[in-house]
Amino acid sequence: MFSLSLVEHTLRLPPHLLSLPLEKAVKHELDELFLDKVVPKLGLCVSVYEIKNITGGFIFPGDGAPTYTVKCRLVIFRPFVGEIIDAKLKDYDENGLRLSLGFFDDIYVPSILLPSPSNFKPDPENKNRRRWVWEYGDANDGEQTSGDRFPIEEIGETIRFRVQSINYPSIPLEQPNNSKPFAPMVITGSLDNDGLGPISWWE
Amino acid sequence: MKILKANDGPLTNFEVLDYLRSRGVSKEVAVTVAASEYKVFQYLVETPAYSQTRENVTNFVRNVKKYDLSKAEVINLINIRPSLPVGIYLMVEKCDARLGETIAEQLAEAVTECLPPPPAQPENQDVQESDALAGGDPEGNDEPDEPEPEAVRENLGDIDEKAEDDNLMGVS
Repeated sequence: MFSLSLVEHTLRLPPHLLSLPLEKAVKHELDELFLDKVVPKLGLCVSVYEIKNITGGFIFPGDGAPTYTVKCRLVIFRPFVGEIIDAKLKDYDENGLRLSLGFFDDIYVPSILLPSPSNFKPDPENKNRRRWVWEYGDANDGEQTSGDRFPIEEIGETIRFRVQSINYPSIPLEQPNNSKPFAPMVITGSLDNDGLGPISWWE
Repeated sequence: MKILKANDGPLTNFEVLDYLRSRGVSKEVAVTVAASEYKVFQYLVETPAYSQTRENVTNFVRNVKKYDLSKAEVINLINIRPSLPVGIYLMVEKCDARLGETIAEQLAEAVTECLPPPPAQPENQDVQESDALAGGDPEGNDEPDEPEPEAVRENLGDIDEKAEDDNLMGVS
C-alpha cells in the first residue's frame, strides 16, 4: 500500500521561517507542500520520511527568500494492481460501491466488478432503500432456487477488495457548480473473487 | 519537482505504523504530526499491523522463503494476515499450480503462527469513527495550518528584537 519515493525539489523558504533551524524550516515547507496531496503518477503523499540533503541557499535578485534544492524521501500511498486492501463501506448506489480508508476516500467498485451475480434489490427491512445482494446460486442451475443471498448491508462495514486499477484524471478546466469535488486519484476495486467482499462473509 | 526514484522501496503497513510511532503518535497523542498523518495512523491501528513487531515480520519473511512467493504476495500476506486457506488462494496467484491445497494450508498455519492476530474491534465505535472521519475530510487540509502559525508568531517576536532596521517592521 505504501512505498518510499526519492524526490528532488527546489523550494523557496519564506522569510518568516528564517529564524528556525534550517532543517525544521525546510521540513515545515515540505509538509505544507506535499502532505495529503496527490502527485500524478506517484500517489498520495502521506508523510516526509527523511530529508537526505539540502543544498543551495541562493537568494535571487529582488527576492527576500533563499531558494534551496532539497532531496527527500516521501512515504507515498500507492497500492499496486492486484493488492488486497481492507476498507470501510462509505456509500453505495446503483452504479456500485464507494469505499473509504479514512485518509483516502476515492475507491469505487463499479457494479460490473461485484461478485456475479449481484443485484440491487429492495431491502426487505426498509422498503425505501435498495441494497446490493450477492446471489450465490448453483452454476449449473439457471434459476437460483437453491442459492444463498449475501447482502452488503451497512455503511461502515469492512470490505476486502482487490485493486483493479489506479487512475489519475487530469484537472478539469471548468467544473459545473454542483458536481462532486475533483478527485485527483481514483482507485477502482474489484470484489469478484473468493475471499473478497465484506469480511463477515468469509469468517 | 523532480521524481528521482518513484519506487525507492515498498513499505508494509507495519513499517509505516512504526515510523508514525517513532514520530510520537499514539492513540491518545495526536499533536506531533499533521492531521492527515494521524488519519493514516487511525486506519493502520485497526489492521493486523497494530499488533505486529519487527521480529514477527522478519521471522515470517524468513519462514515463507521456501514457498517461493513474490514480494507483492508476501506484502499482501503481512498486511492482511489471512488465517484461512481462502485468503491464501486469494493472495497467491495460480495457487493451485504453484502450491496445491496442503501447502496452502501449511502457509495459512505459518501466517497464524508467525504474525499476531489483528486487534479485536468493538464494531459500533468503528462505524461512528469512520463517519466522523468522512465528515471531517474537507477540513482535513486546513487543520495542519492551525498549530504552525502560532509557533511562527512567537518567533516573529524574536525578529522584532533582533532587527536593526526599524523601517522594515511597522512596530515602534
